[in-house]
Amino acid sequence: MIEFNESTHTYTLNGKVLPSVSTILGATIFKDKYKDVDPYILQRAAQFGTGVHKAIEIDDYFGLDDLQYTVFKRYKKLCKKHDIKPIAHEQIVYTQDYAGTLDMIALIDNVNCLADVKTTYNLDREYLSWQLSLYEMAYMKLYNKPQFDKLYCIWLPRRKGAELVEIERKLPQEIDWLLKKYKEIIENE
Amino acid sequence: MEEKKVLNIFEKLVNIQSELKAPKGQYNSFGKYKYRSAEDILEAVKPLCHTHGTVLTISDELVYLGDRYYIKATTTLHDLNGNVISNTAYAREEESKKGMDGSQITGTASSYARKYALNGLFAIDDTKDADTDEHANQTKGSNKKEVIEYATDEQREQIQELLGFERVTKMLEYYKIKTTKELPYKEAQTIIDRETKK
Repeated sequence: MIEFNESTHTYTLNGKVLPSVSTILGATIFKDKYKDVDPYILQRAAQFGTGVHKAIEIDDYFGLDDLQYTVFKRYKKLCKKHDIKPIAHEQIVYTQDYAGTLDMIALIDNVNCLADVKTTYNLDREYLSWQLSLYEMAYMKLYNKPQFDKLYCIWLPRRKGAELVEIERKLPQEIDWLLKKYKEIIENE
Repeated sequence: MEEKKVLNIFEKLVNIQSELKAPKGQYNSFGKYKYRSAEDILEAVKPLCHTHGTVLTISDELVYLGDRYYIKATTTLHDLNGNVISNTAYAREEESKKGMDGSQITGTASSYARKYALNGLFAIDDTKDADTDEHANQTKGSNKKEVIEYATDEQREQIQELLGFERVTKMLEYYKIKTTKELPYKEAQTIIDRETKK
């Protein structure tokens, strides 16, 4: 059974600690992603994003500050525009090699989609492509399901706008390569 | 031969508290007063912890209370049998502080919270500094309890009407409260404002 420790952000499967999707990406392809960003800024950004994610999950604005509330209202408008109907939120998915928490499974314009919510200033499509592909792979294996019709990012930058951005999927062999690379790095540490 | 009595963690803490002399090692030249920092307390208490076979740990955590972020510091005294005694204290993060960047603001709040958590655990009384800036600064955020103003009956009625049963239930779950009586006044007003402006 998978367990998630929120304070240490650790996934454990039957006693074995599994790396998270962000740990794998941070150790392999995206090593220096946030190296020049002040940790305080990162912490603030994370707090902002967590609030918005929570509001999306409960579909209400409780506890949001004014800016988060504005962002949440933009999200609601985007939902109307694209007929976004969330089916599941914050679901833990895992394989024997890694684990993660996907943001949302939703019907978007009547097709079955996997979506991640980002509140960042810039959108890193490459990172999202890996992230969503890893979640999708774990979800498919875990529930023996076919691929989602589409992968999306629900982009809610703080300052303005809200956008639904389709994200390209990585191939299964690319994911295998990434997991192998991660294993090599860990073994050589 | 006299058998050495094994002390429990409370007895050990009492001994540490009675032996502890934490000097005021800092001086504020602007306000012309001496004060004690978390580092001063730690320097004084560490040898005593060693003597009494205990270990002191301190941790910080960022918590969201009401509409502000607080640093929650927890000081824990462990004995070698795995028994613990903890004390926590909070310090509020200022939105901004002249001459300080974000990480310094967090660091300052953390120092205050840690000092107050140590004060609580080791029964250090700082009240004689009450007329100093240091005291005023520290009590702005700290383990001094903040008075929370709760939603008025009128606000509660309005919220019931505006949100309806389902959303009120969701709201109670979100704030981890049992009734709207426990909802802070400011949060209640924000909800009313947002609902009426829709």
